[in-house]
Amino acid sequence: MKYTALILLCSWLGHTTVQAAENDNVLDELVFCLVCHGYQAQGNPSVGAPALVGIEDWYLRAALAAYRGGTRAGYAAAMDMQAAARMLPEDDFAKVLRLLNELPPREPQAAAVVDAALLQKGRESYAQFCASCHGADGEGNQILAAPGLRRLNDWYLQAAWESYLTGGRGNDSADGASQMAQFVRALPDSFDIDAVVVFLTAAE
Amino acid sequence: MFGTALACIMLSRVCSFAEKGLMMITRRQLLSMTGTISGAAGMSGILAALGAIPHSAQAQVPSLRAARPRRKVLLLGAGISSLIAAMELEQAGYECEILEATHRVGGRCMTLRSGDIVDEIGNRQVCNFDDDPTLYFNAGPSRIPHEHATILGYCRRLGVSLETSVNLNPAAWIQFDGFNGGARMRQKQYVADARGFLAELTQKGLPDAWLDSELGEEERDLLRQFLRSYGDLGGDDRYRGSARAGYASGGLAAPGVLKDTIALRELLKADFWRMGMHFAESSLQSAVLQPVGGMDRIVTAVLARLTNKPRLHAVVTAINVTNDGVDVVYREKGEQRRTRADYCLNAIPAQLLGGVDNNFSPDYRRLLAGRPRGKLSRLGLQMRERFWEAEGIYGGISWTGQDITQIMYPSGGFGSPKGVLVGAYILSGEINDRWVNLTAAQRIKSALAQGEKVHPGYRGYFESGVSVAWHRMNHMLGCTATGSEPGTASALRAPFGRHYLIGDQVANYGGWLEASVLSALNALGDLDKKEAEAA
Repeated sequence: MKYTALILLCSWLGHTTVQAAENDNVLDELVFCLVCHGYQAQGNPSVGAPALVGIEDWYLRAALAAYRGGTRAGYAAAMDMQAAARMLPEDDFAKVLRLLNELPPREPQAAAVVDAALLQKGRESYAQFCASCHGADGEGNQILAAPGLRRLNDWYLQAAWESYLTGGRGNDSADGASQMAQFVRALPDSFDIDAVVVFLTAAE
Repeated sequence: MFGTALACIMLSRVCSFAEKGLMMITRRQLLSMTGTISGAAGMSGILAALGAIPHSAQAQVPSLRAARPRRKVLLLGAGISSLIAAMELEQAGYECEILEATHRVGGRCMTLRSGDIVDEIGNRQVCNFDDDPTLYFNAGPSRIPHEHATILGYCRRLGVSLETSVNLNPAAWIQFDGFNGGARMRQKQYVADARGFLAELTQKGLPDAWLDSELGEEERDLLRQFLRSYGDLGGDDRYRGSARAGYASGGLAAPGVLKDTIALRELLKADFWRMGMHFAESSLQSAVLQPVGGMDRIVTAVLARLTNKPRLHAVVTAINVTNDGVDVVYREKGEQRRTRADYCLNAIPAQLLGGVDNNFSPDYRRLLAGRPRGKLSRLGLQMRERFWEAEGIYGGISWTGQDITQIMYPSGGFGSPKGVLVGAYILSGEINDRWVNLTAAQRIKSALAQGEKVHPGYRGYFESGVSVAWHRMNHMLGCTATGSEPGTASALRAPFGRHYLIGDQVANYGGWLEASVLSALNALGDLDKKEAEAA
């Protein structure tokens, strides 16, 4: 596949001076999204940056807006993203999408051996609690601002869940995620997130 | 390096991180192991030094066998570990290719001067210091302890001039909001009173029964004299203040008047005793070393010796280790490129390797993913006058309980008109989490406000500032990773085929140039051995 450079001219720097012979002091090409999210945008758990390939454009746009607006905060990776979002000019978003579209689809992440009972439990839990918003098979529903869940990393699903539960995410009522946070906190104890993650990440 | 910092926080923790076997080696054993051997055989010494903490004790440079024809080594990242390795390899006849993702060479060995760019995600900055080589800011490592013999040996070999860096300066200030009404105090006053009280308490409190059983009459007398001298006690073994604290008035032309002593319960309120008071009693002693003109003089000197200079803006996206070499895919100037070498020395930070396609073993990947992102921040301030010298401060560090934690004064250029201060050096993860989310301008504003409590009028001297939060730096996202499960560092520095992870990230004590260089030499030792077997 071919990478498209995400070129942000650094005109904000004014003129750049050439310094030491070996350092060019010019930031001509900034694919800084991929530094955190992985060079194939498949996600990097070490820095808490989820996969971006296969994620809906509308969701990425909304997430960026929430970072820019400061409503998505409350946990470390969100604050890293706020800083990154500050550097991305609004009109460069199309370039980001183009870049992501040229990357290969995400590799399957499901464990080779899946516990059949857990998978079934997850399927049932999902159908009971999640499907009405996120779609019968986790495909998402833009009208309800509910993203697809199938393309998310398993560790990210867990982390997001934890974040809703503990108040890291969705605390700001201006944030679309506040509805999700309320919903998560109202779920019965019997809801098994591990099982749901197994279901969502199992081969389709 | 970053040094001090880490050494201080980590010293206590290091023992638990370090692999037990390596920690059991005493310094004497280490010396006898490494003293007489060189070449590949010296590698066991390097290994020991990597595990054994700042005591490298002996310069150890491998003598590599001459390379067989057309042997190539690929080095990922152009920090100090890669650069030193490339220099050694080229000298032995290897072809080296160095790929560097950022716009500059040196990694965290970064000295900022006029016009330099700081590529921090969310806080890109240009250093606006005056165009004057003496006005520089070591944003990364700034100190080399005397025990770091390997990097000191390279400085000698490379002709990098060294000078003293004042690390402990009793004339510098301490300022803690809950102590002394928040007012600043000279460190020497605090230390003199703390020692005086401790000596007096000890003198009073030594149980007779213990003294009788442990010491003879003459020794008891010596102990009393020792304590008197240690605490500067009066003839009656009471502490009533000391000239060591500095005089309240007089001293030279007029008779010196002692300062009032600070109450013991007051002394306890200054967190100075937790760290600042003792930090310069480890390998970071009161005076350490620094290259004249900035830490990156080492980088410049190595670069000058390299035939193949590092390629900048070359971002590695995939690493494939094969039986007889390593394939790497990288992106440069918007194009995807491939390269291949017989060996690969990889200094890409562990936290970023999770985002690079690779064929490492699951165990190796798990260890990489478990390496936490180290957090450290520094801020440099160009001041239009060296007002601190007017306060009698020449080098050293003032400590405060505020977020900036430290103000570090330049150890050179005394008496020049302007100077650059390190206006914040933040070690605490909790403060760093907060600090990193300030914009560059907010950090300066905050550092100036806090500096006012240490130096009234501080703001008025300010000309320009620049800050670096290492855990947000582009293509780095962290530094000096420590604190993984025991054994991680040694497992990560074990070769994966012909691929070696290098950098301070594979040493048990991160954040030192010495650790980075030793990691590279450790890899070269194994490479040399493999080549010998193949020949």
